[in-house]
Amino acid sequence: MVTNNATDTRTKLIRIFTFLGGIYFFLYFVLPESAVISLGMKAHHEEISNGFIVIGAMALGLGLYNIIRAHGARVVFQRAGWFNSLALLVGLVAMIGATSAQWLENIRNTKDIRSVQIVGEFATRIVEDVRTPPVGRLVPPFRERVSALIRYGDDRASLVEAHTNLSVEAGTNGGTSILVVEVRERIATARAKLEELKGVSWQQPTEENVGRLTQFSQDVAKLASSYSLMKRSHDAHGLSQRLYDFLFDGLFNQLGSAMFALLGVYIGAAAYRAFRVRTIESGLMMVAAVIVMLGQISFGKEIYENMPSIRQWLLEVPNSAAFRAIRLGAGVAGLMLAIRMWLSIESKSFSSGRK
Amino acid sequence: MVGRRLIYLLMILAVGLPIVFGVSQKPSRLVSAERMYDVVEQVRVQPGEVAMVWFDFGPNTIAENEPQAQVLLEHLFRNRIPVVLLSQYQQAERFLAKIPNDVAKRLEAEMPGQQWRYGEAWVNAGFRPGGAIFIQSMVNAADVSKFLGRDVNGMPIAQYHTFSSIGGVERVKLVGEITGLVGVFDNIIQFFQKNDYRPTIVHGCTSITIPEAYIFLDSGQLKGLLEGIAGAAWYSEVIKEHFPKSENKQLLVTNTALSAAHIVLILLIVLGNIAPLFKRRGLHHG
Repeated sequence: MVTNNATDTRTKLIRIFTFLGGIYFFLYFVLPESAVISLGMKAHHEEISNGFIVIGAMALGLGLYNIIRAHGARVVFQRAGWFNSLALLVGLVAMIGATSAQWLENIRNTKDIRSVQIVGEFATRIVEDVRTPPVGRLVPPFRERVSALIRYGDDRASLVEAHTNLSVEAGTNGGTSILVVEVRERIATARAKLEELKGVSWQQPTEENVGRLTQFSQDVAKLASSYSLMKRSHDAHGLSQRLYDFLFDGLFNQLGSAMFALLGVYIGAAAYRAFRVRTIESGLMMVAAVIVMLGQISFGKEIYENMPSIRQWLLEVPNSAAFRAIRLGAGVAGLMLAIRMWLSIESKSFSSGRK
Repeated sequence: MVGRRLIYLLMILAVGLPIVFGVSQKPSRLVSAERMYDVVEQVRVQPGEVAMVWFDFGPNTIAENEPQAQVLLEHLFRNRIPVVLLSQYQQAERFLAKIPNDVAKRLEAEMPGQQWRYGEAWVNAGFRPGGAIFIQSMVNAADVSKFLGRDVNGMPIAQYHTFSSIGGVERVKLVGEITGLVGVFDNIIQFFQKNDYRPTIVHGCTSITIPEAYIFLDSGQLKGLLEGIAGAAWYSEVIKEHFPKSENKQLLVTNTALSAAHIVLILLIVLGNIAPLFKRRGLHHG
């Protein structure tokens, strides 16, 4: 009885949430915009949608868990086909490992690149605060901020310099490659500007000083842009990227393409064995199929000049009419299915906790 | 009767020989691809305005979708239209990174001195889960740059000068959808719109989905269409007409191989229908 009650409660909860989710999007779609705004739906739509996306993304974790459980059990108990399950799990782990390594590498790089961009943004912020003094926000004195900017700018310029040298030494970016030359030029410009900033008195934010900071900010933004490209180019040769390339381009890509390519040979066999003209309808279908194929290929126009035009007419007129009918029918069926799912009457698992 | 193995061999030879010997023929003229070229050509962007191209394909349909993605990006890059790349399909993630890089390198080799750089010519917003819900949220967002948040490298998209302030979705001047999947294109047609905004949508589809795409082309919801490899091949020819240095030899070879396979298919259909007649006649005479 306790189990039945728990199942009933769960069923009710599923029904309620399904109904609420459905009615929200239904109302958002059919109500006029003024009503959507006055009900407060517009203001929170982005957050609510993100919530639904997150719930959808949870299916990924559920799928992962199911794969590991089902195939893991087959491997552990050495059931029929356990070797295929092992291959699947090894592939899964390898791909997750390679992607995670690449992802972490990306995060590290982005952090470095952002740390350079921030120097420029900091300079811009100082200029903005001079032009429009902040209200309700305490900022350190102008001189201290510029001094911190120079220190941090020096530090980041050294970091970019070190990474550039590393990239050249590792051979991932040649010493004379456009990117390296550009980064080195921009480091030199930024450093020259830093030296200039060091030689200026920053007691008062004069117009000339503010101009210097604005120029410095622009120079750093350019440096960050070139550094970003050079860093990504360097990492394209890294171990994690090469492993990912091998798994994706070398295996997954090729296997996926090969699976689809098999269709070509099956269609060849089907064309010969199954495409029989026994009725007027099948005869019409064959003629249409041949014309559409000939109209699309290079040789078609050599057989008959207007073949592409006839193909175009077939697709635009009879095909469109037929497909619209199919789509309309499918649309109505889809609507009915959606209503049944919305009201939780589509599946027994929704409508009853007991079988 | 022709054996199955012989049919397989014929198909492999039909596809393989043109590729091995690099045979290429001028592709068939496809009006839908020409229309698409004209549509892209008419796109003019002000600072902050962009094109948004969705790569919704994986390894299984790259043979058809990759050339389509390449020619569309080539055209957009040539016209200096900034592109936001993203996908509703997780397996497209690799192609979002690779294809624009390849196109940029090819264009830089063709035009020394000119550059197409990440963050300026394009930005990769990566795979976005949620399909229709995601698109509905994006079209209602006040600023697409902020809504997208970070690019695939984790960098805030607003950090890239070209993409720093796209603003509302009205500033997306062209929407491209390259896919072989069912459903993702419908999401774009149904939900990528609001009040007075209907984007210019162009589409690259696999041969299987051509008949379905035509209903949207006919209704005007779709402004241009690339029909399989043949569509991409003809589009590349139109680009070549305007930019003679554009390289499309490999694409034409692939298209020729596909044409040869079509010829074999037609012959097999004809043979499959004639052979039983001869067999029956033989039995009567026997």
